[in-house]
Amino acid sequence: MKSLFFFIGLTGLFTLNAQNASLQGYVNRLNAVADYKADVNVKASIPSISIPVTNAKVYFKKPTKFKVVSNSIVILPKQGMSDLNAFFTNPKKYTQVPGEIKMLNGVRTQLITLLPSEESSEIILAKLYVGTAEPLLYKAIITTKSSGNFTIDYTYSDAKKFALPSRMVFTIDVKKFKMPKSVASNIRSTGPTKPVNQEQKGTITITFSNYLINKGISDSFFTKN
Amino acid sequence: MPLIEVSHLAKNFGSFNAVKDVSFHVNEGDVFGFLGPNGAGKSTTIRCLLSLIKPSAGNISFFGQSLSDHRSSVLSKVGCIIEKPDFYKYASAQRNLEIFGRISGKTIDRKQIEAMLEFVGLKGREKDKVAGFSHGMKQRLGIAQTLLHDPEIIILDEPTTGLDPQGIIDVRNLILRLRDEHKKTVLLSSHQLSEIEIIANRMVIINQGKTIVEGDVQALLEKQSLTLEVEVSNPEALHALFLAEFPSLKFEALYGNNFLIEMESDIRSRLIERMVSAGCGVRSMIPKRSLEDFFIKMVGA
Amino acid sequence: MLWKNTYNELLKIASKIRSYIGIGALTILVLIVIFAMKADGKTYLGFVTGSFEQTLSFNGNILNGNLIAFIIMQMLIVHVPLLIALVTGDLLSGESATGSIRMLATKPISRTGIVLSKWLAATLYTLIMTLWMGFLSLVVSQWIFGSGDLIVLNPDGLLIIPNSDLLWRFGFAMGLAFLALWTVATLSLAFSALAKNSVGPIVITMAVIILFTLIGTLDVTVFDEVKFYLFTTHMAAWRIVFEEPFPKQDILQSVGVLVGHIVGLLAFTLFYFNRKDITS
Repeated sequence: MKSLFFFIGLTGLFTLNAQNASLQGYVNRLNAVADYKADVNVKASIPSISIPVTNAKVYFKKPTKFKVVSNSIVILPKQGMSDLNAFFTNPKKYTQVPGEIKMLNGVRTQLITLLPSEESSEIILAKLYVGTAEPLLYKAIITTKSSGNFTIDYTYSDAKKFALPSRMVFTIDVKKFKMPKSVASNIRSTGPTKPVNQEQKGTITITFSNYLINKGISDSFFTKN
Repeated sequence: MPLIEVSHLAKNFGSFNAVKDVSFHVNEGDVFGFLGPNGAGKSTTIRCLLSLIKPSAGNISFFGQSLSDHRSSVLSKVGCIIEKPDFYKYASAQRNLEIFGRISGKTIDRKQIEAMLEFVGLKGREKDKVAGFSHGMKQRLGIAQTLLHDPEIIILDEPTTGLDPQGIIDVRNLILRLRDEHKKTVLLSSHQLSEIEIIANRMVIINQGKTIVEGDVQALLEKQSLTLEVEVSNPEALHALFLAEFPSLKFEALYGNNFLIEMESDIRSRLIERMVSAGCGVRSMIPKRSLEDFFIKMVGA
Repeated sequence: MLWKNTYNELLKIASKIRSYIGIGALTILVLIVIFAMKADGKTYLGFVTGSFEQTLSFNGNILNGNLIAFIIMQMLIVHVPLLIALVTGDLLSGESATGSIRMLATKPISRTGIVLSKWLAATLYTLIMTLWMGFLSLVVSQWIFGSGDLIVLNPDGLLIIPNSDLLWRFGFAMGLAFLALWTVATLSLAFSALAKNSVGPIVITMAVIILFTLIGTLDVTVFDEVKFYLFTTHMAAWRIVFEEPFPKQDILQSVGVLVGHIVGLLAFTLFYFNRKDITS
């Protein structure tokens, strides 16, 4: 999770070429955020997991500090995000390939594909759809070696001048989930254990509200339990 | 009306007939001796009387009421010790009496418990756990438990088993006090025949699961032949006298100058008179008509 | 007379050291689990969330008092029956072994009254053990680990139940756990009526639980018909309270089977003890 918001905050570290001016603009907006606090509402719809809608507060501070505060259990995506951050912040690790222009929900975007230059990279492919009219990231499709694919759809509202989304929808690959039988086995069950749900996609929708940007958050806050 | 009436009682354990046909009755105020050799069916009969064992046949009634139909009301008027009183060892003497008093059918308060502990000589030990009690103390506590609810009938099965001589005397005296001072009816099973002879007024002897004889203790003893143990200084004169004048009497040499003489009717005064005049030199003459002899005769031991 | 003797039976239970062995052992077991979870709870948690951790992150107080209480209940459902049987298996056989049954059965209380009062006392002891387990697992765990949502690993996946939805579920679970332990107590009382020493009923009770559990967990078709009717199958019924949607029908079935066992075993004990000749 930490990596996710790290990703949001640090996309500004992208060092893109001049032909991708829209992505650079997006990065510039993110760079203007030193810290923020926001309320989030998390709705997860993941096969094999049943969790109610939860609320939490999230805190971020440059460059990597991130904290979730909630009385509830909050499930957030993690898939390959650390690798992503390391990947994006180091332009030597990939090659950019500008791609097609595509309309996403009425917004004109351009596909920018990032190809890893090292074989050992966890990320196999990253496709980013960046707005051409306004420099915002609207969609990211990431393929990783160990955790499959995931997609992020971004929606913006009040905080878009800082490139902070009002909603992020993660679509994650869940085909590799396995229920540990020894822990899950129920002695009450008189038949064979139910097969694990075979659905392959799960979504996590995070809605942000009440952003407080650049108000200052002490470092010690992130170390407290 | 008898207080206890047992008629044609039988109990089978599978194919084994522990009790075949036992009948007797106990009247109000009796100290009733219940006798029989080992394996005669005494314990089984007493357990039937107390509803511990269900009879296979026959009837048991207390106060004219059938035991099986009026079990609770009958048992609320009965106190008993079966073999040995087994208490809850982890509890104190007082707690044990509280436990048994609570289900005795009567309301027992703490003062009654204290008085009863004093009566049996356990005052001062009431808070001690029964686990630390000697056999005699447990027996006394058992008697306290038996009497706590002031029963009309007291059934004691081998109450002196394992007691030392003083303990036996104490229990005997207690039974006599129950009879004389408290006017209780006591059914007493015991191997101590001398004890029964001293304290019982009526008795029954059973053997091999059947009633052999029942009746008044003294009347039964008097019915049997009289045996005398005689010591003389002149045995030859005694021999001559018996050959000449008492050829029908049983005459048997015991040891030294001691002889055993058995007679159907009591002719002791005439016998003494003739022995003296024949110069037998009579040193002692002891009548041997005891319950022990009677018992042995009855059970054929 | 029934209530007076029930009071007597409670006094006897309270006077016996073995009654406190159960409570003491339960306390130690729970404290050990709490200590183990405090020291290494994250490893256990890894079993639960391990499959998801590559993709998802679980935030918040996951290792909380509610989860510890759930884990404790899951672990102790195997051990508490032994602790219960230790006391209830002795109620009639212990009296036969020491001979005090003679004194008890010659009092003006019916044999039915004796059995029922012992059963009622066993019921109260079982209830106290269940409540003590509940207090230790819920109250002490919450005190040490704090509160929070409960993450449960069910055969068909993870279920996260909000904290606000847990109190009634734990109450319900405790009720079902009590019903299961009550069945064990009644079973051991039935064996206790058959025996003349207290070791036999305790050992046989545990042997029956182990045997039935084994039959219940074996995936062999010949046992499929009988599995539903084994009380051990329903001893973990408390767990399905933590499933969504709430399996009302399954719970009612389990309650039915357990209550059926209790009634049946009690009826057998009454029938047998009323006919029994006390020869000890």
